[in-house]
Amino acid sequence: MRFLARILIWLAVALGGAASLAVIAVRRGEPISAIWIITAALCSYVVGYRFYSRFVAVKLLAIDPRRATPAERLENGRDFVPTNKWVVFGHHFAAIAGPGPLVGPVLAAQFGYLPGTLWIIVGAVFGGCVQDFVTLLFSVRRDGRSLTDMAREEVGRIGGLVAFVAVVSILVILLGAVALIVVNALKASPWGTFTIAMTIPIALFMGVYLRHWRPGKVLESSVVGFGLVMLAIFSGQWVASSSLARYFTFTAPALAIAIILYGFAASAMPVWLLLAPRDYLSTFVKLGTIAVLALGIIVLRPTLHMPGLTRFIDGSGPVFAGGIFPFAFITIACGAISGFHSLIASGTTPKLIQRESETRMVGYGAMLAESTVATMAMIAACVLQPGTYFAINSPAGIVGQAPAAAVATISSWGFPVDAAQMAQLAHAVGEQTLFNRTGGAPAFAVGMAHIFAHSLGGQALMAIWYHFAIMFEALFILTVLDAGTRVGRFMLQEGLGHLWKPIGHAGGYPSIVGSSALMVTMWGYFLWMGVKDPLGGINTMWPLFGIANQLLAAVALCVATTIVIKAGRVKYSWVTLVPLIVLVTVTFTAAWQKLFSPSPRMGFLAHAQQLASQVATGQNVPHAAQLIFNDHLDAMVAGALLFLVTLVLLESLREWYRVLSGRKQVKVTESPFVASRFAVEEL
Amino acid sequence: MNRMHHTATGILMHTSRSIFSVARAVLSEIFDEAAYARYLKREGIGGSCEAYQSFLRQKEQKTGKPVRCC
Repeated sequence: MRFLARILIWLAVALGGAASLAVIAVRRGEPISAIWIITAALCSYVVGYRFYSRFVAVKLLAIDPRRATPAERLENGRDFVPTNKWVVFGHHFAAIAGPGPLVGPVLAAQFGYLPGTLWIIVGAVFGGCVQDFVTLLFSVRRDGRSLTDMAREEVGRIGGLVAFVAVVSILVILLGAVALIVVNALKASPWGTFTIAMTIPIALFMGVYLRHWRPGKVLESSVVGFGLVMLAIFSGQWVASSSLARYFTFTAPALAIAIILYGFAASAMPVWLLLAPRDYLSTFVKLGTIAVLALGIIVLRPTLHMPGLTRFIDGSGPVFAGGIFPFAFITIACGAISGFHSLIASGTTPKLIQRESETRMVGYGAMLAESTVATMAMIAACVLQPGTYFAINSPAGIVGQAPAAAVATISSWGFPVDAAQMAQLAHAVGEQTLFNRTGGAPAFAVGMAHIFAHSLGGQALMAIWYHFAIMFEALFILTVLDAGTRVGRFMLQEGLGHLWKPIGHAGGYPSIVGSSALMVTMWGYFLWMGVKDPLGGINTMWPLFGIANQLLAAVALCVATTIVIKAGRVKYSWVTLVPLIVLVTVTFTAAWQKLFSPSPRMGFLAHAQQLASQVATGQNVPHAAQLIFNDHLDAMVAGALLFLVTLVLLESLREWYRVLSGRKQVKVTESPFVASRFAVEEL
Repeated sequence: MNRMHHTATGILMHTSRSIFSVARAVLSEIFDEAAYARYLKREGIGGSCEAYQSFLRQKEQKTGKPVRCC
């Protein structure tokens, strides 16, 4: 009887998910409630977790709860600590959730809500969650080894090298892209700039508070820091309307320089003073805001005004150039599948896992939670009227600098919007203008403010909600920026140390300053390039970042497939092989189109060619030489990424062929079986 | 009826307490308070400014690479 009830319940969940998916897929021409997207996503995730992750755990990975994990075998109270599964889940989720799942879906909303939503759900269940889960388990079975170590051991030296180069490339492009998002959100916004500027002294205060006044009371200091940030948001409103506003009103280039200097200082400063307290504060705000946003969407069930599909599915969109395939799959990485997660799944997390069976909940489950955040971002973007969405996200180079020109162009696309309406909205959120605010963050903030303003505090608090959302995203991003610069600095010191030993001396001051400067110069160049780009920069930078991130995911899936084949589970290798094929197809197509598309809006080389022709015919093109150089640099980066994917694929294919044909004797790289002292838990 | 009510309240209280303690443990781990407590236990010392500074130094050496996803 209970068995029958269980079947009926799961059948109801599956049917509920299928019906919701059908509604969001077939409804055309009228707004739909966000609850359909939430139901479709949650039902798919629940079914995916219950059935698919179990299949992966049992058939592909043969998880053995009796086998001791490195946290148990190598327990030292420092790196290796057996930890409660909920605690590891929270820790892992806090590490994988960054600004990516918020920004990517907002940008991809230019295609309508449907393509992005489907990719987020399907990509997560069959791709991203599987990647995180298998990487975590394989790392657990190898004493918590990192992805680059596993790539070197399983695929070969080239695999390890490619993983290393991919990580550095991703970091450089990512940091440039996210810094550009902050610049676009804060330019000409004294309120936002003041609030974000205040988070620096607040973080320094927290650092001193923690070190000298209340040692170790991190939660307490984060609550104090959060209170001060809220005070900064409220004070920002006063600053923006006072004579002080001019000291916090910056152009995009000025903000870019300030952020570059901040990145350098944060990388070279002691961790405890700025980086660690900022990280704590950002995590505190992040977890709280995500919870409140989830609650808000479920309780308020906002209506989506964006159509399921827009006319820009043909690739002519103003937010970024390119069709649904491959660019929807490149633009949304973190909410569906993100190579960066494999670094975290093979970093701290495997050293905390108490039982093998818990990798399923932590690896697969935390990625489902991340995917839920991405669906919320998609909803926040799509609750806006499409005309408003495109007015915020379209660069001046496409719709024109003047509001009249912008509204005329956007309305001509079939998305009516007028200048007075945009001015009213800008006034309601406490900004001078919302036109040309590319990058995704302002659109997300307006969407979030729109959702909350319909209940909590009404229109009167719309400006506070908007600036809270901007602060939340900028804080998120600046934390990624300072932590990423530091990670990049360590990697450069490590890598360059092989060429010249003194650089590898991690604690040496000249080495710290030199490698920090090099890292900041690299991402700073991309930031500067984006700021000066007449098309807004995100148009170029986000697809490049997506390609780099998916390349790392391809490396992780190559490593996973190699391990699966070596373990003799060829029959189930499709579990990692299918997402790998999808990713390789997407990455190759996207990189190829960015390189060789004849459209100057899409192809780097075609754009450089167009600029060169314009100069040759005597037209006045400001900064033409610089723009042509940037195009060639972008083409080189895309080409290098394409080359790296090819290398790692060939290396993996050779390894699979040698193993399957019996030309290579398989060496077991797993740690030997040791029985766990912890109670055996049913899978 | 009254007994049933008491039992239901008891279960609710117990569940709430469990959820709260798990949430507290998660936050302590995320915010490194648990790691500091383990450090104090491992070193056999009490909490102080010096102990926390030494914990931070050790943490910085160990996790100089605080990987955070995009």
